[in-house]
Amino acid sequence: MSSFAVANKRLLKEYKELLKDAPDGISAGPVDEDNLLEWECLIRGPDDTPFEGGVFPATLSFPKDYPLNPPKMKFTCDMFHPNIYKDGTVCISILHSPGDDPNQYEDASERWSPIQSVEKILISVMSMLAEPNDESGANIDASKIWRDDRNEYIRRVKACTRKALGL
Amino acid sequence: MTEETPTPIIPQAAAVLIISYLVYRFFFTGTSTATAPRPQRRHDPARLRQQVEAVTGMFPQFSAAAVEAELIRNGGSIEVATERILTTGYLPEPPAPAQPAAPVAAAPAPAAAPSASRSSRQQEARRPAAAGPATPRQTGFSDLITRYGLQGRLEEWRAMEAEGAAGAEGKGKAPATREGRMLAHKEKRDQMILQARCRMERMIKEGKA
Repeated sequence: MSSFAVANKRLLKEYKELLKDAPDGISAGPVDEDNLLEWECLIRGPDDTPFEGGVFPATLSFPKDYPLNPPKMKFTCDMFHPNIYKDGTVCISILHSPGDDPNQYEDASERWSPIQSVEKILISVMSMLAEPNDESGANIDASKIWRDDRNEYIRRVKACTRKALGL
Repeated sequence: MTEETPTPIIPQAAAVLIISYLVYRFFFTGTSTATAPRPQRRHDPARLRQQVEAVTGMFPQFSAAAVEAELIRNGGSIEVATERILTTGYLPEPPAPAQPAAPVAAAPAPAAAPSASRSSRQQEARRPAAAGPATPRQTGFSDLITRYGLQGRLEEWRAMEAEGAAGAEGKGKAPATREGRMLAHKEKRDQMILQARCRMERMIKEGKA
């Protein structure tokens, strides 16, 4: 019970801080304050990338023992990116628990720890959009096309970017 | 026979002495180790929880598990725990008990449930435009304008942008009520979408997208 209370307290604090002063291009908050473990967020596509101009929605699902363990992040729009699974789940080191590194290629300092935050996750994901990590392919097709046919990659990403905005 | 009998008695007596000494040692040390840690280990769970809450109340940046581990380690002293935090600025996390799989269960299921109460809260809060956000999320993705019911505001926003009047609301305030926070969050979300949509329309016109 007490870890759940801690999770709620911490999430409410992060929510208030994000409302007060969120970094540019990021919006995040609980879908409903009755359940602070389920958040919706928006990330603006970084400039000078094929994601430029877009806004990408995602959900964050926090465990009851947050911030001991990281949330899961899932885009709720079509995404074409080497580190995002086809179902939208984001694969990035900051969302992996320190003990949970099957491939041993991630530095412990990059991984989740309670000093990280929603804000840091979203900023990390934003820079991941700009610079895919070739080492941890989540979407094999996207990894291949990103490596072998950059123009096709850009075309596919731009299509997702427009589609999310209904264009 | 009479000569042989006394000889085994001496080693037997020695063995009995040694064994009885060992048995005595065993019970003696056994009881002493059993009694020593007992007062430490006798943490009243309710009291421990109160202590953890007290410490995390002062230092919300540390997890309850880390605080609890520290309190158990130092024998339940809030003062020692506080002192340690203040001098080192850090509390080690306890060796995580195998629980990384647990959070997965909480992930996607609740997403559907809150949407119903969410729309009702929005109506309470008299939000005319975004009244229909309960669009399905699992079955295919709808675009953001449809999902958050922003068609109505889009025209309005275009006009405002044309006048140069549209812009993000001022930062630096977190509303005190949950309704206020919900409104501020939704407003920021909607504005980000509208802004991006108008920008993307311009980008397409200019052939950049």
